[in-house]
Amino acid sequence: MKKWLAMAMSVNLLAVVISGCSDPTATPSEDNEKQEQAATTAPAPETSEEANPFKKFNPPIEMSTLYAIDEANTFPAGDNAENNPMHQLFLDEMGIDVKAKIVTTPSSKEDKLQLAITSHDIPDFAIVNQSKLNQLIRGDMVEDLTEVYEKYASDNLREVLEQNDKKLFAPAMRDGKIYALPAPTTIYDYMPVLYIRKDWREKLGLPEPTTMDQVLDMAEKFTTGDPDGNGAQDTLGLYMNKDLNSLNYIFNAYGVYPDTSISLSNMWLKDQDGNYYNGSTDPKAKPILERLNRLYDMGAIDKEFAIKDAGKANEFIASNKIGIYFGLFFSPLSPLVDSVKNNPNAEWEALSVPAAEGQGSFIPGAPYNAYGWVYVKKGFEHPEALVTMMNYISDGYGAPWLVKDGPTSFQQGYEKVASDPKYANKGLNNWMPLQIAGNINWGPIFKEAYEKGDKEGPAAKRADYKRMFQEGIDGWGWKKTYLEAYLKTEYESVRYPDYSGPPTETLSKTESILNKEKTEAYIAFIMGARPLEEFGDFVETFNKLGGSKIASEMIAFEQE
Amino acid sequence: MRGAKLGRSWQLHVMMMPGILLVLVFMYGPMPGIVLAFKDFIPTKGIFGSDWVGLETFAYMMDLPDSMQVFWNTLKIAFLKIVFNFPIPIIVAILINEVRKAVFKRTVQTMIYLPHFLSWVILSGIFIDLFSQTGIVNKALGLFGISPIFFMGEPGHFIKLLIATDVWKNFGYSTIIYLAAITGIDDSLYESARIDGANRFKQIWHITLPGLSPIILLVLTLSLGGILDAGFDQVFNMYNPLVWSSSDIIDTYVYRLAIVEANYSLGTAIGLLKSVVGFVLIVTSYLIAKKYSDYTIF
Amino acid sequence: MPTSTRSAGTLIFTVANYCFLGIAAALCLFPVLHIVAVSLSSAGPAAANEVVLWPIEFTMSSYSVLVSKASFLTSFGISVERTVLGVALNTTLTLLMGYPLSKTSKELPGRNVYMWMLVFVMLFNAGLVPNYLLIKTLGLIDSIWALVLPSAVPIFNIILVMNFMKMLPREIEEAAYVDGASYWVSWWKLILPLSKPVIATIVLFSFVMHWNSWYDGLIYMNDNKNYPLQTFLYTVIQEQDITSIEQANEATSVNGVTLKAAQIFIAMVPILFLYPFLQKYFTKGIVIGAVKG
Repeated sequence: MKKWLAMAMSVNLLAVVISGCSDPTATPSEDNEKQEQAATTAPAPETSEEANPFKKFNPPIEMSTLYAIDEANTFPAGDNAENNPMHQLFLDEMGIDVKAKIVTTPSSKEDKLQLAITSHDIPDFAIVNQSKLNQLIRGDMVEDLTEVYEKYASDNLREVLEQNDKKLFAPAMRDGKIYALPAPTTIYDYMPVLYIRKDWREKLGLPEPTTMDQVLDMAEKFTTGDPDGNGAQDTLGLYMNKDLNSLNYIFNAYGVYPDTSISLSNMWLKDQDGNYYNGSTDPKAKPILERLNRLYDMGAIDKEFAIKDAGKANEFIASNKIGIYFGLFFSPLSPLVDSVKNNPNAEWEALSVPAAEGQGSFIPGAPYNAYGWVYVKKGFEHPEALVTMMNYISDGYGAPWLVKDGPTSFQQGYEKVASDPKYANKGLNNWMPLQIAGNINWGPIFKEAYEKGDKEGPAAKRADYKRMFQEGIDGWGWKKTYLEAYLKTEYESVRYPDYSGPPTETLSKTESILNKEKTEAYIAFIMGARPLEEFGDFVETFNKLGGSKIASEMIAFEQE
Repeated sequence: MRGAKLGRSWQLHVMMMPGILLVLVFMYGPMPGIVLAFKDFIPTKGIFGSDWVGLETFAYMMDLPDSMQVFWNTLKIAFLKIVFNFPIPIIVAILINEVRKAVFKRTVQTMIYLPHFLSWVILSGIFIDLFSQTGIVNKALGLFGISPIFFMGEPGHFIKLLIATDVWKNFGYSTIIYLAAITGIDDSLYESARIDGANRFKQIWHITLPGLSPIILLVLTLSLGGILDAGFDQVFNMYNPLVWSSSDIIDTYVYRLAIVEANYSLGTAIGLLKSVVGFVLIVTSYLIAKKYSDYTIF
Repeated sequence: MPTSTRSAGTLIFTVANYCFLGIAAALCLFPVLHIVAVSLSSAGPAAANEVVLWPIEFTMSSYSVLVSKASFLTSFGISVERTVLGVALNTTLTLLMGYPLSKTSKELPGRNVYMWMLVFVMLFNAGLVPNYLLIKTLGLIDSIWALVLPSAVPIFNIILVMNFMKMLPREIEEAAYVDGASYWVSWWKLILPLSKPVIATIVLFSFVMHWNSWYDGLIYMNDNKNYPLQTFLYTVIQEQDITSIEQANEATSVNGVTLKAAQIFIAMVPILFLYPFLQKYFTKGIVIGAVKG
C-alpha cells in the first residue's frame, strides 16, 4: 500500500498498461478539454467558485471513516487515528477533520465493515470491496457521486481514476451513474513474478527459461536431478497449494483464464460469437491440466498439496524443497525470505513470467488494480469532500509525474512528516484515511536512487526504501523486492474480464458453488483422481449449476 | 408452616430479579430481531421496515444445489460427535476419581484440559503434519505393515478424524463437570458400601453412576440441542477440496455463500432453524424424562 | 479394613488406569509443548516446520519482542479486567439464581416460568445485528461493559448450581427454617458453604468463557485499542491471503511463526494456573452425614 509515498520526482513513468484495444489516454483528455471549454464559455461565477477542486473547508467539516492499521504501522505512543501528523495535514490543507469511527486491523476490516453495513451504521466514507459495494448500492446507502465527480475532479485525478478506458469505474456504476469512486493503486502490484532457484538451475546446467513450457520442464528436472545435492530425490519442482493461486499464471501463459485465485473475481469472457463463458470452462485448459497431471505423477508437485493452505505449503519453501514459485513483487518478503534464513546460499532469481511457446507475449489475467471503491454515505452533507481529498492526494502524491509546478503544499507537508525521525519507519500512507496511486513502477525509481547511494532525495524518504538498508536477512527481502522483482512486473498488456457489470442474480446466488465445483474438478484432474476425458462433464455440470444462466443474464444486462 | 413459607417466597423472587432483568434486557431485548428470518432484510429499511417474505428464505436455502447433502453431512457429523463426546468424559472422570495419588491426579486433570484452549487454526496445522502420509501416525501404522492412509484426503477417514480430534480436544474440559459432581456424592455412601464388601467396580456401578445420573441426563439433553451444530471452526480449518462434498456442513456452506454476497436473512433463518430443531429435541427429552422417570431435568 | 485382600484384578485395574490416563495426558500435552518449542526456536527452522518438541537454535527473542509489544500488553490488561469483572458478576448472579430455582414451584411460585425463560434463550439468539444495535443504543460500544453485561447470566452454570443444590438433603435447611431463618440466611450460612465444588466449577467455567471470548470484542469494540487478548490474537493468528506488501512484511517479520507461538502460549498461562489452584475443591468430597448429625 505504501508504494506511492509523496515525492516530487521526475518520473520516467512506464507505459500505462493497456487493456485490449482501447486507448487509455483518449477519454480523459477529451473530457478535460470539454470541461475546460465549458468552464471558459460559461463562466457562472458562483459555480466556478464552488467548483474549486482544491477548496478548503472553512470552518472545517467532520467526516468519519474506517482505519485498518497493520501491526507494522501502529501509532507511536501518544498518537492515535485522530491525533497524528497525517490527520493534522488533512485538517490543515483541506479543512477536513477525519474522524475514526472504526479502527481495526486489516485482517478484521471486512468483518467490521460487514457489521457496519448490516446494522446500517457505516462511516461517512470508506474503501470497500466489490461485494460490499454491491450491498451498499443495492441498499441505497450511498450518495450518487456522478455530479460532484464531474464538477470537482481535477485533471490529475481524472487521469489516475479513468485509466484503461474507465475500466475501474465499472463495478461502481449503475445505469450510467457513479456510486463510488475507485481507489486505484499501481497495477504493477498485481503483476505476477516468476521466482526460480538460480543456484539449482545453474547446477543442473539449465538456461534461463524463455517459455512456460521450459519452466514446466525445469520443474521436472528440479525434481529428478537432485539440485540440492543431498543425494536424495526430495525436492519439488513446482509450488502448489489447495487454493491453486499460482496455477493461474501457468494457464495465463497459454491464453487460458480459469482464474483460480480466490482473491480475484471470476473471469467471465466472451467468445467469438459474443457469448459469455467462464474462463475455467475453456477447453484449451485440458492439455495444461494434463501437463500438470504428469508433473504431479512424477513428483514435481507435492502429493498432498490439495490439503494444504498457503501457510502450510510455504513450509516447503522455508525448508528449501521448492524450485519454482509464482508470486508477486513482494514474495521475497514472504515466503521466500524463510528459504534464505535456513540456507544463506539459496539464490532466488526473479523473472517476468514467460508465455508458452507460440503464444506471443504473456498476458496476465488482471484484477482491478484498486484498493477498493470509496463511497460517501447517503445524506452526508458534503459529498464533494471526497473528491477534494482525492484531488489533493492525486496531485503530486498519488501521481507525481503529473505535477508541473513543483511540489504542492500537501506534498511538502507530507515530506516534512516523513523526515521526522519519530515516523521514520512508519508507512505514513497507511495512516491516511484514503489512498490512491497511479501506475508507478517503483522498481526503476528505487534502483536508480539506490545505485546513486541516495539517502536524502524523495525516494529515500519512503519507509520501504529505508527498509532496504536493514542489516542482514531483513534487508535482503526488501532489496530483492524493489531492486529485482519489481522490475519484472512489466507486461505488454493485461486481460480484464469481459463482463464488468454488477453481479447477476444467479451469479450472487451460485458463485461460491461454482467456485467449489471448479476447484474440486481442477484438483481432481491434476491429481489424476478424475480422468481428463471428463473435462466435458465438468463443463456441463458447471453450466448446469448456474454457468449458462449467468452467461445469459450477462448478455441481458448488456442489452438493457 | 405452609403459610409461612409462601409468605417468604418474595425473598426468592428478589434473588432472581437482578439476573432476570439482565436476561430481559440483553437476551430478550434483541429477540424481536429474529423476524429477519422471514424478511428480505435491507439495512436502510431496518429490521422492522424490511419487507416480509414469509418462508421464502427457507425455500431459497432448499433450492440451492447441495443443500440436502450439506444437511445430512451436518446431521451425521454432529450426531457422531454427540455419540463419542458424551460417554468418554464420564468414563475418564470415573477413572480419574479412582486414582489415589493426588499429584498424578492433578497433573492428569490439568494436562487433559489444555487442548480445549487451542484454536482450530493452530491445531489443524499440527494435525496435517501428524496425519500426513509421511507423518508420525502413518509411520507408526507402517510398523504394523499398514500402508499409508490419506487421513485428510479420503472422505471416510476424514470424518473419523473430525470426530476423533474433536473428542480429543474437548474430553478433558468436559470431564470437569463430572469430577465436580462426583465430589458432591455423599462420602458416607462409599463408606457403607465398603463395609458391605463392595469392590471398586461395584461402588462405581451402584454409587458413582447413580450419583452422576442427574448431570449425565442434563448434559445429554443439552447436547441434543446442538444436533445441527457440527462445529464450524473445526471443519472450516481442517477441510479441503478433496473432502468438501462429504464434510461441508451448514455453517461452512453458509459462510462461503456469504463471502460472495452477505445474505443476512439467510444467516438468521439458518440460525433459527437450528434453534428450533434443538429446542424441540430438548423439550421432547425433558418430557420423556418426566413421564417415564418422574425426573425433571431443569 | 479389607484392603489387604484386594484381588489381583484391582491391581491390574490400577496399573492399566494409570497407564491409560498417563498416555491420554501426554497426547494432550503434545501440542502445547510443540507451541512452546516453536516459540523458543529461530525463525528459519520454525517456518520450515522442523521444530517438534524441542527448540531448534534456541532463542528467547520472541518473548523479548512480546514484552515490549504495546498492543499485546494492552489487550492482556483488558482481558484481565473483563475477566475479573465478568467472573465476579457471573458468580454472584449464578449463585443468586441457582438457589431459588433449586426450590419447588410450591416454594417459589412461577419457578417453571423462570426456568423455561432461561432455557429458551440458551437456544434462541436474535443474532448479530439486533444484538449489536442494542449495545449501540445502550451506548456501550467500546465499553468494557459490552463484554460483561450480555453474558452476565450464564444459564448453563445456573442449571449446574441448581442441580447441585437440589441434591443437597432438604433436612439441612428445615431445621433453620424452624428457627425462623430467612432464605437469605440459609443461602449464605448453610447452602453456599456446602456448594464449594460447584462454585469452583462455575468460577472456572466463567473464567474460561471470559478469557477465551473473542467474537464479542470484535463486534462491540470499534477501536482496536479496546480489543481483549483473544480478539487481538484472532487478528494475529487468522490466516489470510497475502495480497499486499504490508501483509507480506507482517507475515514473516512482524508476526512470524515464532512470535505467534509465543503469544498463544502466554495467552494460555492464566488458564494453566487457574485449574490447579481450584482443584482442591474438586478432590474434597462433602460429607453430608456430618451435617445431618
